[in-house]
Amino acid sequence: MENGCSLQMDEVLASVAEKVKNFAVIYVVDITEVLDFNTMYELYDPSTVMFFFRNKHIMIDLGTGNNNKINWALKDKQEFIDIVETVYRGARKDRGLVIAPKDYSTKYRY
Amino acid sequence: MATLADSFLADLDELSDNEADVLEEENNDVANMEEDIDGDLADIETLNYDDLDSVSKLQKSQRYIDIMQKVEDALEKGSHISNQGMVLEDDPEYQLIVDCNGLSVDIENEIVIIHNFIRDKYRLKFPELESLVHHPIDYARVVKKIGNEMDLTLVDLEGLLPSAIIMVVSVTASTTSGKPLPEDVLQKTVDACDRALALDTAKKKVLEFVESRMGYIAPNLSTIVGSAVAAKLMGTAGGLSALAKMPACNVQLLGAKKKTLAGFSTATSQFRVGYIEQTEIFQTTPPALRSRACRLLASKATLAARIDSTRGDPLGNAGKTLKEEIHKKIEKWQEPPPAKQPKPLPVPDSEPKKKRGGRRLRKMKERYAITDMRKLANRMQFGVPEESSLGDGLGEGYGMLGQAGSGKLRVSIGQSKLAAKVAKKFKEKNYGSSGATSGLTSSLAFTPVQGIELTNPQAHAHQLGSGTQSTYFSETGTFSKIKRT
Repeated sequence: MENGCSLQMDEVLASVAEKVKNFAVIYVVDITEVLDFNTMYELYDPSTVMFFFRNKHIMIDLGTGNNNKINWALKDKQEFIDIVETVYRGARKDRGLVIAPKDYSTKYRY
Repeated sequence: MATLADSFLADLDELSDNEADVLEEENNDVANMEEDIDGDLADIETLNYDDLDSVSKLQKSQRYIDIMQKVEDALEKGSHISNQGMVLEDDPEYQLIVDCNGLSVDIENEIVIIHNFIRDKYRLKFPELESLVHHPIDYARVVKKIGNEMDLTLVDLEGLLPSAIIMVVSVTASTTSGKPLPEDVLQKTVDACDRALALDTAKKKVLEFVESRMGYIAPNLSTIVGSAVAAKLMGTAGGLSALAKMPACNVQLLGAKKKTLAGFSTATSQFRVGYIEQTEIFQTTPPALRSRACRLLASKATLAARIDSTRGDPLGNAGKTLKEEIHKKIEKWQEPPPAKQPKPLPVPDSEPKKKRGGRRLRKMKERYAITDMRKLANRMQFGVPEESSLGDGLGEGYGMLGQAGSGKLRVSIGQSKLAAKVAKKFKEKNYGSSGATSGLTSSLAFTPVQGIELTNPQAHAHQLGSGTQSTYFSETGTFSKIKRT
């Protein structure tokens, strides 16, 4: 179950990496190997995506209640690219919090 | 060419014995053959003196006879490797080639004249034939075959025309409005046909001769398009220098035929190509690239012709390089396009948005611009509370609209551009409209002040001036008084 989630996110990240390389770089960190930041950022989900710009953590209003990270697997590549672009635009203007283009409050709908 | 000009003069004077006007090459055979030709001349003259000869004189002109004779001799002699040391213009063979070119043009003109003659005579018999068969030589052959026959099923036109055209001709003949010709007219017509055909064979001979000498005369041009086509191009242009002077677009069209429609669709008709169509390079290109190849060939052929006309490269090397170039270009066209590379996205906001300008945009913006009425409503007079829609400061404020001192009793909404556009759109739906006024205009009248106000309208004309204008140095502004405290 967990594997599937992180694998899916990995795939999305890998396919997007080339396209956004002009303004974003993607790092993958294994939280079972690098434990230093687990408490600081509360990393315990199968996959977590966080955004940093010039050593500052950028928050995104996704509608889920947790503005610090994306802790589920996004399926759509274009959605993810949109989020990255929004974060970039906002961060460049010194905004600490940006509003995601799509609302994920209902992502658990079955 | 002095000799050519002289031979034209000879034609004008109609001096048949003036040998000095002809080329200076000694050819004993010419003198012998002349007597025979003179005998023929006499026969032809007695046959149809009045009609045909008055329009067609070429076949009897001295120049024609001499050149034809020389051509036949040269053809019999076989390929003749001339002296390379001699300057080209003095070489008698080259002179002959030049004359042949001029002659082939003349023959062509002559054929057209004879064709007109035949057509005029044959119109009484079969008027529709001239619109069905365009080519003069084909027309002459068909006329000769049909003769005075009224029933076309007895006439066999196989081999003279394509079968489709034969069918059309037969059908038209059955409903033609023509009548059989009188005997003497028929005879004249047939003779004219014979003469046209004889001229045609003569032209072919001339072309054959020029073609055989092409490699020597224009090596570069023959390397590119082949000697047959080169000879035809030269013949139609009227000489190598004439060909060299032509722009490439004309060279492309030399020898282009006009297609007979006869009710067939033009959808499949090819683009305009002339003799270039017969070159090897053209035939070996795939049909999709043919029009480009034709243009390329024409331009390189023109270049080669120009080199040849000035004898810049007697060995033909320039022609070889041009041919290589042509081959390479055609290869390149046939290459598949390069594979698509996935492009990364550009940095957001790095490229500024392209702002458009111009009249069209201005007009579009005018439709949504702030109207004068809105401007007045936005502003307020100092120290005077504004009126509002619900009274007492509630509701929308009216600002300067209708205030005393604005100089206008009624503030009417000028026809706004947006309203005009909307009105136009719904014009058809207003069935019962009188059409006098648009339903979107109105005029408001605010008269809070009792009594009559008479003000100078010009005094307030500048009130709504553009906010960007500086009032410090305003031309219309007045002095202001500042009280000392």
